[in-house]
Amino acid sequence: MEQFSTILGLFSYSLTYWWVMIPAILLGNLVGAIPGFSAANTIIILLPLTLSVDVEVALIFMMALYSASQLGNGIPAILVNIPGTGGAAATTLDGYPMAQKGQAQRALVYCFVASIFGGLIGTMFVLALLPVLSQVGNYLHSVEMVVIILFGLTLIAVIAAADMIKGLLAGMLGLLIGAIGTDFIYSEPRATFGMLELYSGVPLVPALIGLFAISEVFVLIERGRVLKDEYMDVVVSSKFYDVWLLVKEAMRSWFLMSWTALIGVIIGIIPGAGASIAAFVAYQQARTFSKTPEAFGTGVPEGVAAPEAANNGVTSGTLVPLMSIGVPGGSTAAIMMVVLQYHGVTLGPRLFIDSPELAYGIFTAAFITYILMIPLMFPMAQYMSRVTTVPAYFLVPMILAFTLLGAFVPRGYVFDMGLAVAFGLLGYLARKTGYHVTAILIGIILGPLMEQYLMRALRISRGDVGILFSSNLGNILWVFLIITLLLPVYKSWQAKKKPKEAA
Amino acid sequence: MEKRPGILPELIIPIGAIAFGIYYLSTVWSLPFQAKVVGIYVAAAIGILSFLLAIRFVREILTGQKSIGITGFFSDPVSEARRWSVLALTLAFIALMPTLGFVVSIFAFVFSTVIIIGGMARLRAAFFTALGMTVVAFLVFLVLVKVRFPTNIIDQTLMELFL
Repeated sequence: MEQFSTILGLFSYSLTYWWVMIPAILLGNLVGAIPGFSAANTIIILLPLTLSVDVEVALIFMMALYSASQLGNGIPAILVNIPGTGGAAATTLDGYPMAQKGQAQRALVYCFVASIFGGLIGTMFVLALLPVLSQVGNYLHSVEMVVIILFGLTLIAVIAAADMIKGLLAGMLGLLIGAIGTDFIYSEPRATFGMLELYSGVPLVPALIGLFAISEVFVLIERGRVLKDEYMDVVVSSKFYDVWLLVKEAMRSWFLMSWTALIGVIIGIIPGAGASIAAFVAYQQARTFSKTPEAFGTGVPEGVAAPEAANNGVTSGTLVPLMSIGVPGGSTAAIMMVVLQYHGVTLGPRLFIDSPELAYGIFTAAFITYILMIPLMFPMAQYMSRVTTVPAYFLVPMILAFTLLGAFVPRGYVFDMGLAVAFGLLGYLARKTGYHVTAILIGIILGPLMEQYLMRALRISRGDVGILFSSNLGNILWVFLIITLLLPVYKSWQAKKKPKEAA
Repeated sequence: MEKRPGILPELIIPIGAIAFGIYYLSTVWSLPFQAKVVGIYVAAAIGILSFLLAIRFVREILTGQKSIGITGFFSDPVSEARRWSVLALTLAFIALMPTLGFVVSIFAFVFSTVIIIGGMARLRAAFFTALGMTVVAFLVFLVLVKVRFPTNIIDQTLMELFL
């Protein structure tokens, strides 16, 4: 009871730091929307600031920036088919087709509602079950991670449904590209073309920028603008009141957003896993259990809501191992750990007894951040959606310049800008000839993770593949995976059977 | 005039994937099993899928659905000219940035790209777009975030004005 009142008090305490949260939200949205930037590298850049202020202010600033950047990732994914990070790549699958059909405002509202709702649900879930959730990481080892990543990889097959051979080939090419660089055990270079810049693998940001942004501008040059001409009036005549109606409409998907947010929390808790896996798994699951799975990929709002709720659920999940056992769940959490340690904060179970305002405060700060996003983000949806009407001769140079500079930022290599152009050509060729770029990207993102966990499992078992079926939790996940794969087949068989019976 | 879509552009990715798969295997062949296992399986999958695709392409050619050529790959000549020019400008931007510096290369790139796509009628718009873009990029990347882009004397002088 005492703990409950402490947490309740922390909500109002966090709210007094609104003056820290609002600039952090605006900055987080901006850095989330620019490919190449992320919450992690922005917090690194702002270390002089976070190290010089009080620990509460630093923690709240970092948390607000991190949460807002997760939401910001989805904005360019919807408007111009450019995901800010890998976590928003799944959002492009339905978000961009919606924008092309004059539904950018609707897609953005779904993105904001799902992100905020997912973030709130995730935070509440973590606050309620923190002692239990802090143990989850102990049960998820390499074997279980292999199966979880397989959930994401099966999305390749889902995407490939329209043209199975081409889709799978694109996914396999992505997996092989993802396997460039030194291996995880022996550090032997593989297919690096003799380039030192590729020894640590194919960098994700140039690949993301090339496959989505650069290939998209090559298409835009021909089309003139993002929006198809016949939908011009719809976008131009949209009103602010429409946003309110769309929020009400989006809230009808509360159940979908809730369970995909929980997927995000659970995946976020696992150190090394992240928003990319969560978003792809959530999208794949949402499609599997949808009444209209065939509509996914053509511009359905649920295809935006599921990955956005999941990648915002990750935000709280990734902080669970950090606060409870002092192990960061991701790169942003790792940088937060550095800042907290500089301020003399010892992370771990004692923190919840000695400084509950910090241990629980980070989650209440996230909660308040998401609440503050409501008045800050929704009014902007109407104006943001107008980006789709901007002519290509303005949009193309701006996208190209910003994304190429963004490709340089993470590693500081001019090489990465050239690599982005190479991926751009591959992406353009893939689009023109019917090979799905998202399938290539899934391979590049999840391939190295899959290899890493598989190698680790095989190393432990001395090469015995049987280890993949050696844990109870792993076997339960295998069963779920098989159900996930068979359910669409069963549904389509049922759908075919019904008309026959009717006849 | 041939109207059926050409098959050749669709072959580029499978052929490229096979070539890359062979190159990949050549670099991992002597490595321990665990370092090459993923490459072997994925390259084998690429080989099988490419073979299935080849069978489909042969059938599509024989049934007259597609032709041996590049029909349908290129769009109208104006769009193609713009696309290849923008690609050339992008490569020039990357190659010349270490020499021209950050500010000059971004201004030149944005200005010329607007002109290439929008035509000479957009001269004023091109100038102001390039100027705005350069100022924003300079402030965000060099002044605020301090990313170590290649810079020259112009960039350094401008940075001294701000820092």
